[in-house]
Formats: sequence, C-alpha cells, structure tokens
Amino acid sequence: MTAIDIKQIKSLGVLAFSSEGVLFIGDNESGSILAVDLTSVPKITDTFEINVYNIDAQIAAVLGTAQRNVQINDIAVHPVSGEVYLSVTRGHGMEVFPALIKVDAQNRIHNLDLSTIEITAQALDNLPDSNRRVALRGTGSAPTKKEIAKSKRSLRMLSIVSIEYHKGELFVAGINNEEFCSVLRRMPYPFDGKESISNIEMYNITHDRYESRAPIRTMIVKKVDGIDQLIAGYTCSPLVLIPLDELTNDAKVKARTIGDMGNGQPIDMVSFNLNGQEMLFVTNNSRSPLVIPLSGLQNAKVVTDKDLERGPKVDLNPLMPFGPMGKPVMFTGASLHIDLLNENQFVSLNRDAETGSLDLETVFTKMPFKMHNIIGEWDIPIEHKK
Amino acid sequence: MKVYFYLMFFFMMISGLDALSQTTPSLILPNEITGKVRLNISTFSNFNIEKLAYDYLSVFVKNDREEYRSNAVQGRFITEKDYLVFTPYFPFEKGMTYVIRTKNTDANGKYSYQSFELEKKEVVDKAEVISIYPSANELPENLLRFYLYFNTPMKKGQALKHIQLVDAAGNIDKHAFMEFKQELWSPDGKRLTILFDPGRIKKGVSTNIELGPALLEDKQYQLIISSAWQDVYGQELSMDKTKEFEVIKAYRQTIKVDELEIQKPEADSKEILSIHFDRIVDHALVQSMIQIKDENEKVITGYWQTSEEEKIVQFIPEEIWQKGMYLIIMDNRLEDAAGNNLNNLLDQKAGEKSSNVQKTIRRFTI
Repeated sequence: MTAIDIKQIKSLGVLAFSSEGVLFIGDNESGSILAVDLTSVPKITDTFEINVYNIDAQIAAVLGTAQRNVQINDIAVHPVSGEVYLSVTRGHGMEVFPALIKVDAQNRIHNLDLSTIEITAQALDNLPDSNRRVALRGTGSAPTKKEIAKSKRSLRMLSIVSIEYHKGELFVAGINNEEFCSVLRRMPYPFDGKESISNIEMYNITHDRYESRAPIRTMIVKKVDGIDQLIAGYTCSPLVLIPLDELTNDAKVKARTIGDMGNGQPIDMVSFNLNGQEMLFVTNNSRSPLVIPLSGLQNAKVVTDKDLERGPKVDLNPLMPFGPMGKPVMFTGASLHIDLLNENQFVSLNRDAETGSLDLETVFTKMPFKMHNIIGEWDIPIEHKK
Repeated sequence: MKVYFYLMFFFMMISGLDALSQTTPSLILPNEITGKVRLNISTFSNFNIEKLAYDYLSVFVKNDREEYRSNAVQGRFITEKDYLVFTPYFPFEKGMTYVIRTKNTDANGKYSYQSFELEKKEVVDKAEVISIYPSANELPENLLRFYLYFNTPMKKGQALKHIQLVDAAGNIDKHAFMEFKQELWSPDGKRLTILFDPGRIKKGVSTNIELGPALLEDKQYQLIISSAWQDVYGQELSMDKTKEFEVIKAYRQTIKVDELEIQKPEADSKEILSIHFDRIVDHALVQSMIQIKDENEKVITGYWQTSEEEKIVQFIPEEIWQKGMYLIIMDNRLEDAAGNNLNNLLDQKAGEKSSNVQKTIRRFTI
C-alpha cells in the first residue's frame, strides 16, 4: 500500500473513523475512498466542549476566502483525541478545492496540510458515469429553480453516500453505473485494491414498492439477533437490516425492512449509551431526530408488501411511523451532521433556528438542545415589587 | 530659552517619526492569486520561524469588525535569505481584500497593518466576437485556419458545438474543422485558433477522398459563431456572429520573397515600411517571424501590423530611419493563410524534397 499524491484528491465528502483513528473519506469526484492516517494524534484527557459559531465564516477566514465559498460536507470525531474533523469544499464552479479542517479542544480551527500526512486510497469500480444526471421532478407544480438545479447534478455525487468501518473492513453505500444501482461495497483495510459489490433491494413502506436504485443514506454495524448486521436508513425513511455475511461479490441482497421513520431523508446514525441502554440517534433532514433503542430491533418483525394494506403511506397515514422506531426528541434548529463527542455529549453542525447561522455545537445526549433559541417560563425573571 | 525647548521638541518629533518608520519591516505583496507574501526579517533580532511565524506575519481576510487576532489565513512559512515567505494553502482570491499584520521591529510588541487586493475579474458588459481572421471576404480553397478574437475569456472545450461552416444551400459541414482534446486558445482565453481538417485540404488523403474538400472554389460560405457560447463567467455572446466569404483558387506555390514589392520609407522620417504579398499571410505569425536589422546587424525596434486584408505587412519604426542598408529577415516558418511556409507547401507532394532553410533575407537601401 503506497501513499498517494495529494493532487489525486478531487473532493472530500463523507467521513468515518476507524476506532484507532484512521479517517476514511469519500472522494466522489475521483471515485475513491481515502484513508488518512491520524492514528498518532495524541489523546486528550480533559473533557471539553466545542461551540464554534458561524463556523463557515471562520473556516472561510482560515482558507482565505468568503463565507459563501465554504460548504461543509461532513463531520467526524476523532476516537482518541475527541477533536472534530470537517470535510469542506472551498469555492464553486471551476475553482474548487477540497479542504480538511480540524477543530481542536480549544475550539481553534486548523486547515490540515494533507501533503504532510500519509494518505492511501482505493479506487472504486463501476462508478456512475459523470454525465448521468438526477431526474427532473417537481413538487406537484412546475419544477422550481432549485428542483431544476438538483436535476443538473451528476449521479456521480451518489457514488459514496455513507462509510462504515467494522473490524478491519469498510462498508461503502452508494450507487454504481447499472440499472439497479443501489450497492454496498465491501473492502478490507489496509486497502488491497479489491472490493466486493452487492446489489441491495429493500421494501419501502412509505412508497409501497421494492426499491433498488436509491442508495442507503446512513448506516451502522451492530449485533442484531446474534449476528453482525448493518442497520441502514433510506430516504422516506425505511430502516432495514442486512447481515454482513450476505455481502459477497455480485450478491443480490434483499434487505429486511423492520420499520419506517416516515417521510424525509436520514442523515446520520450515531450509537450512544443512555442509562445503560444502547441507543441509536438518527437525524433526518426533514424531521426531528429519533432515539431508537437497539433492543427494539432484536427479533423485530420483517415487513413485506404482503403484510400491509397496499398503497403509498405518507406521514399522515395512521400506520406511520411504523415499527420499533423509538421516539422523536426535541432538537432546536436543524442538525446537518452529528457525531458522538464523548460519552455524554454529541457535537452537531447546526443550522440555527432563529438566525440561520451555521454553528458547531455540543449538546447533551439526554437533552440534545441549547437554550439560546428558547424563551420560556424560566427565562422571564420575577420582578420583586417593593 | 523658549526657542531652545521648541527646537528640542521639534527634534524629538522628527526623530520619533524616524523611529516609527523604521519599526515597520518591509513587505513584498503578491501580484497574482498564486503569489506569496514576503516579509523582510533582517531587522528582527532572535527571529524564530518555528514558534512565531504567524506572530511576525499574518494575512487575514478583511472583516467588518476590523479585528485581526484569530483565524489568520493558514499556509506554509519558509525563510529565503532575508525574507519570511508565506504561501497560503489555497490561492488568494481576486476581488477580496486581505489585511496583512506584521510585528513591529522594536520591542513594543505592537503590529502594523496594511491591506491588499488582487484585481477583480473583468466581466464585460457584452460578450462579443471582436474579429475573425483572415479578414478578407475571398479566401483560398486550401485555407488552413481561422482566428476568432473575443473581448472576454471564453468557456473552453465546446468550440465546435458553437462554430458552424454553412454552404450557400444551407448545408452544415460537421467535419470541416479538426477536433482537438485541447483546443488552441491563447493564454488569456480570448483568442481561439480553429484549423480546417488538414485531411480535407491535402489532396489524396482519405478524408479528402471520402468527404471532399471543405471549401470549393467559386462557392459561397458562412462561418457562424453561435450566441449560445458562454464566456468563463457564464455570460452568453450578445449575438450570433457571421462571416460570409467566397472561395478563390488555392495557394499552391510557396511565397517568393524575392518577388515581394517593398515600399521603402524615406530617410530621416518615421515612415512605415510596407511589404506587399501576393496573398493573405498569417497575421498572428507576422509579429514574431519578421525582423528588420541595419547593416551592423542591429535590430531596429518597432512593431508590425497587417493591412489590406493581411496582404500587406507593415513595420512602424520607433526611431527615425537613418540612411543606409537594411535587412528584412524573415523566419522561413512564416506562413500564408493556407499554412504554406517559405520553404514548403503544407500539401507537399509525396517524395518531393522538403527544404529546411531557416531564414530568408531581403535587403533595401534608403
């Protein structure tokens, strides 16, 4: 395995750490998975919070550009140091540079000089052709400007949607260049140039159809029903189980649908411990985060089209949400990306509810919100009349 | 006594100013986006790049609060002779204002600030084709190239989508021009060279046999540049540009330099020297392929232009002509509009010996 030239890096997208501190990054533009060796980053023993407000403007300053030229693609917490890493796109159109940013325990922002770090890469096979575009689709009426802009995006950006590291292997969700294109790639790390690609089909309760094109949006490996399985969330928003054993090359895998969170698109799935019980915190770009007990997924009923009344079932259908999907929790503003910072706290890239600012904030796992957007009973001081 | 105090005060003021100007070390600013910022560190004692580089020199994006303490632009520092050199990880951006903070050389630990900005992108009001060369309306059947000049840098990689050769009957010749992976653009992105497929020009080559020549003598054609073509800023050309022309006999002879008519300037004047060609010459090559020297081989400075639809090449001298003998030195790579140079025809017959003379000289005396 030889280190790559950083000129080969074209974009930095989704992030995932190994437990030792290797940072895996999806590079959709070059069509490869990068492994950035950050295993020698020292442990920080004191706990710390990260609260960086207007983080896009602050990153822009460090990168010598304007706020509008910074797009944050993902965040991940280093498993040893607890520092937060962010994948960033600097610029638009022709002049685009990828950047890897670190926010340290003192909340300082650093651009990592990638030329000084050992980075290895694995190029992926059978990637979506860059010329293939997302289909044009409006919301009932004529497509809006933003809907048209979405249709101009290359399917290539869906090559690598989610990465999960588990016991010396990487699982990569995305699409390939075939008709039934939703795939899971599986490859050993350290990379050996080989990967297995499995096609994934699942039953989407909301849509009442078997889907094999839409990619998995977020996933995690856990022991469910005694075996290692991927727990995966899809758009609109089924939750499925996929035993790792079934992920062999060219396999046509039928994922087990055990629930549906309702309409929307899941973003991240983080496991954490709440009062001694293992939980999943699942964020969604369209609804409140869900806290799902892992215990509820054990022996869960697998659903097919035979089990339910036919027809699409949107949010207002009495059946939805369906299955052991836990509870929605209060979260002020919107979490664009989230990870576990320490055993009691998440760090989340938040769109502020009131100002729309982009903030990197620490919240408690038990009560994942901040007070600054809330004015309630206790915020009004009692006036003591003389 | 009062005068003495005044003088002393004045002297202190002057020396104070002097001291102030000496505390700000000298800076060299970047003049392009990939440039570096250089700080002269020779006047600092105990300079330590490892720990304090950002303290000596920091570049910030100008902000509304005018606060320059944290979030400096990050990059690499090296020392080069007397200078601390800062290269940002990413290029500077045009149109943005940066503030450079430098440590003063005296021990007060204070900073000095100065700003710089790299020129904004020049977006023109109307994107246009300014000119098309050759400019003549009668062009030889074996014409090799067109030059298109724009007033703004254009989007690359899509030229042949936006350029059409149409005959009098309205037929579009889709294979008239060479397709290149790398189009032939000038460095500023404002001039494109398009070549007719030489296979269509050269007699007996397969594409010439299959498709015939792109241009036929005595026929009329239009070169149309579509307004759908965008400049690099996404602005479309303000209108289609059409060049109409008629095709005349092919150029099948090399240029005979000895037979060119030379219109000599008068001595003690700054008159133009004109060289009359019997055909259209490549206007872009004229600047670099012809030189005038005096009898001592000293180069006469001036510049070249073309007139009469690139059939006349003119030299405008910077200095007054002196009496004497002069040499017109032509690089034999000078070409006519069909790509024939002074040595050989583009469509050299197979087996015909090619010549490789480097220069052709004509002399004149005034």
